[in-house]
Amino acid sequence: MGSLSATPTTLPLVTPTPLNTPRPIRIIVIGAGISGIAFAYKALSLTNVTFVIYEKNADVGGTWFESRYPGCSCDIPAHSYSYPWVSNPEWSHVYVGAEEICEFYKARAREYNVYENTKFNHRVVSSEWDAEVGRWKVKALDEKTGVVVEDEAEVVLNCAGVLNRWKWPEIQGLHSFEGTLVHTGNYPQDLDLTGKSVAVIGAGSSAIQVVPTIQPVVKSLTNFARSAAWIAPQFVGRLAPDGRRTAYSEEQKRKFREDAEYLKQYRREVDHELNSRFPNFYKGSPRQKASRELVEKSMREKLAGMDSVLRESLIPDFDVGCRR
Amino acid sequence: MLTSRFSVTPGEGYLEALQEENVEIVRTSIKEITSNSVVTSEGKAYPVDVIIAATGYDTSYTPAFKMTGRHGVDLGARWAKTGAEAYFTCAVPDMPNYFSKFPSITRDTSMLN
Repeated sequence: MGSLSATPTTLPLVTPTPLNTPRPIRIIVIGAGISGIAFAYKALSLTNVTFVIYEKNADVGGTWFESRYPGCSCDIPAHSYSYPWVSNPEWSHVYVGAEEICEFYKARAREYNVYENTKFNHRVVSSEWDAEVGRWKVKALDEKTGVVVEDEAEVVLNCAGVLNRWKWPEIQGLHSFEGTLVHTGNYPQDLDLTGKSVAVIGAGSSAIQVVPTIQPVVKSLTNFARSAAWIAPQFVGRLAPDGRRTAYSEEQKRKFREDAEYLKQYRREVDHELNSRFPNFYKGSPRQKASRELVEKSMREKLAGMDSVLRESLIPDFDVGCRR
Repeated sequence: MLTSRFSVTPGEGYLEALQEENVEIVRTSIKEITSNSVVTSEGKAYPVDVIIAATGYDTSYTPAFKMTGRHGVDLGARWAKTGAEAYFTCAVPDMPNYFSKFPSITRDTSMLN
């Protein structure tokens, strides 16, 4: 054996803490949208964890707080567009609009103490790892005061979504336009389109919701749609016989409210219906081919009144599911 | 817009609206926008009062802020070269204890290409 000093100058550090005791962890969460709210829920069952959410907006909701263009709604049934652990017997329709979704998530945020743990109007500007202390040094700009606050934590969860950095199209002269120029990602709530001549640029998911919503009130509408898009019949048609207008009756809602098991089974059915479509996206598969035929047929039927050359140009030449 | 998980847009009413009297769909690309019109590459001008750009978002998944990890690695600079890449869509090399919640499906938007 080697020699042991009778009087060691430094003692090994032993803390009087039992093995496997969770050490305190601080978490910085970026964004109080659906993901940030979900974290707050999960945090309720974590031990020794403290957290703060930095949110650039004035309220929770993220995408659903910001997106308010005409016709904005979820593309899948609301009962599937909710957390797995919480049902909402009160959904008014099979597909609901942005405001109703946002309200639902606000209520969850109140339940999960999000408001107590969130710094609103704070935009994260940087995050730097400090290896010495094993923590992230995060800076956030207080949009109201212009002051940059500093914070640190062991863990950073980035719950920022991708539907908030909206972008103008790169078109020459766009900003020389002297009329009203707006983007769907930042839509002004007081814009009245009644009797106006309106151009909608784009053929993506937003344009597809805007066009039919504003058509009845505008004087004229020109949709500049450079690319074609697959326009499918509404998902889960069987559960929504009247499409987007399909509302839940008071009786259905009462049953959802009073019979948790019934509601769970209903939500399972909706999810199953959605998930069963997955094989349609296997490239080159018979299911994808069949799906393409189905959507093509539906599009041709709906466009029956249109000039045939224009109609055919609206049918995409790429496979179903390869772009959105 | 939002959250279609299946890359095919359920567009109830869209195709029908295109065929209404007051609606025109233009497939020609836009050459420029003037003080009062949208002008196509064929030179046709469409005078309008309002332009609604439904032209989407920056969906690169790159953080909107400067993210500097271990060894000074700048995540934005790295992903500008490689596209967003992540382990099981949520963890990234050189970014210890950093987790993001978005799938890193980038260059190919198709799910199973």
